[in-house]
Amino acid sequence: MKKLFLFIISIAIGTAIVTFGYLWDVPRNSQLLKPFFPKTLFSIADAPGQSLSGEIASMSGNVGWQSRTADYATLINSPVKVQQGEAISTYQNGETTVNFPGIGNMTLSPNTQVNFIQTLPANFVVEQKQGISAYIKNGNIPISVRALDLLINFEEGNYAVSVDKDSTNIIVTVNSGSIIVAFNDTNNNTNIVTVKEGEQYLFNNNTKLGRIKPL
Amino acid sequence: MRKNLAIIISGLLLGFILGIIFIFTFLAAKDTAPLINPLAPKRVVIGFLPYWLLDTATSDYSKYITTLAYFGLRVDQNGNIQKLLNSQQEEPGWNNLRSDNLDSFFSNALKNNLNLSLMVTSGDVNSIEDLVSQPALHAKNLVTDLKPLIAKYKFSDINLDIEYTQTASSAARNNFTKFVTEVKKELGSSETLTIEISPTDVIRNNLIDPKAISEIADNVVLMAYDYHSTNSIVTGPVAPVSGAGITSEYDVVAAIEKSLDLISPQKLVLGIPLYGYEWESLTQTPRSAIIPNTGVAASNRRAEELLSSCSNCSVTLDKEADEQYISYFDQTVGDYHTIFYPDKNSTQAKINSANKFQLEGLALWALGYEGNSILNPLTTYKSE
Repeated sequence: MKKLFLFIISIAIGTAIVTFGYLWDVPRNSQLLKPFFPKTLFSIADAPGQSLSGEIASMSGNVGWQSRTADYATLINSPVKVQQGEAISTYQNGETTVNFPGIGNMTLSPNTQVNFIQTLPANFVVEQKQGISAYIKNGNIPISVRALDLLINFEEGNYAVSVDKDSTNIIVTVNSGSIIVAFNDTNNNTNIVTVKEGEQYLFNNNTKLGRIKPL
Repeated sequence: MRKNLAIIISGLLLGFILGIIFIFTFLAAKDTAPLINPLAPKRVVIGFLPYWLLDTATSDYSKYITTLAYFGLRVDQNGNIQKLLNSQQEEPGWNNLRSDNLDSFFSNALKNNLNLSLMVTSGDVNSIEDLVSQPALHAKNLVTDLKPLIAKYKFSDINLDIEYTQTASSAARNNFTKFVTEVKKELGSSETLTIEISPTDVIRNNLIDPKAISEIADNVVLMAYDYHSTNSIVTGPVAPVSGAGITSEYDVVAAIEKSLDLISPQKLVLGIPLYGYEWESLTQTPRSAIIPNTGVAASNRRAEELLSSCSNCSVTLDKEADEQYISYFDQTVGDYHTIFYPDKNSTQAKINSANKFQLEGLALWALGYEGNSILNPLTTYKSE
């Protein structure tokens, strides 16, 4: 009985020493224990796990790729994988097609820049900063293109978006399918327009005025 | 005797093992610390009071906060407090400080033994670059301007909110650190110094060197919000607790972890929002592309008021982010509105994170944005 009591007291003392030792300097000890606990999956270099990646299907001339950590694009000699947070630029003689399986593809003409803002299956969103790009949407994942202050949502189909940074003119051509464009005008009113197959939408970013024109 | 010694040693060993299991299970690994460390210092809860919310804020927040921080005064490129916007107009932060608009806030704070803090701010890139170009001189100018105000209004803390969230040269980073060092030196020991940092400051080489400034400042506030904001391209949570690396680029816990690689938890204060954002989009799902220029800030109060009067609003919890969003269809325009905003559950989730990492405290941006219940979890947090 006495031995059992001694054993229990020893256990209690041992537990108390360790526990109060930890509590004595919680911040420091928490840091010491940090390696034992899983950290978040955050990474600057890698896109979120649920985002989809694409690949350059073809390229010619000068094509630049900007990684998630770089401040500017560097020229590439061979196709690379493309993930959320990256950008592709073509220069004077450059052209490339980027394919995202299950979503569609985009073909960038010379002097074009597209930033891959979000490649989550919930919504695929790119920002076309300048130039001309053709888009084919052939999957169920919604595709949105942000062109200056114009938002373009594609239905399944074949489209071309032209962004002239200097004149701020944007032209969206609907070769097949249909799109919805939306913008906030100079009176702060939201405008929503549906553009159908065989039509173009002409928009000026400065005046925030747009109109539909038959092809 | 030898038998007894063996019993004691084996008991102690078993006790050590049980103690380690206890720490891992209940103290170090949980979101909430079930046992309060009696040796821990009192928690800090800073409430930021911007001049544009003086009409909506209540005059006494002593139930929730330990420090009332007035936002604030603008520092110019020479380190002087900016008093005029132009020859006709006083700078509003300065104007409100000089008026009697703050009297009831300050007198209630002092009556309830809260600390008073004065925020000194700049968000102008060019002005900040000039400010840090001559760190010693400009720090001296700043403190010379501040000293009479500290004495007059009984500020016990100066809070530097210099928001330059882009990469900077190592020379500029060093100069900013020198500037902070000089401000601290000029202030002396009677006032504490708090510095604001953004979540990107701890993952990129921005102007602020978090490790260096944390060795100088008394507290560092991690402004863990604006993960999505007015300028975002897609809708999403303003201060997601988790989700980084899965669906989100970055989150609050990741920012805390990155901060703790550089800053002691005893100096780190977690900034939390009492506001969210509202955007218009063409689809209802979260993370939809935003119709450009439709983003506006939406206070917790505005979100609560909207919910109480809106018949076609739905509320959904983004579980990963621990933040909810309201969405509704605007029949006049034909688009969807999405409002991500924090509520009392978000506050509790942030408290849990602060407890988990044993942080020094919380900071609230901003008093006056709150609705009926978002501050409630703070009453127990403050007194724990």
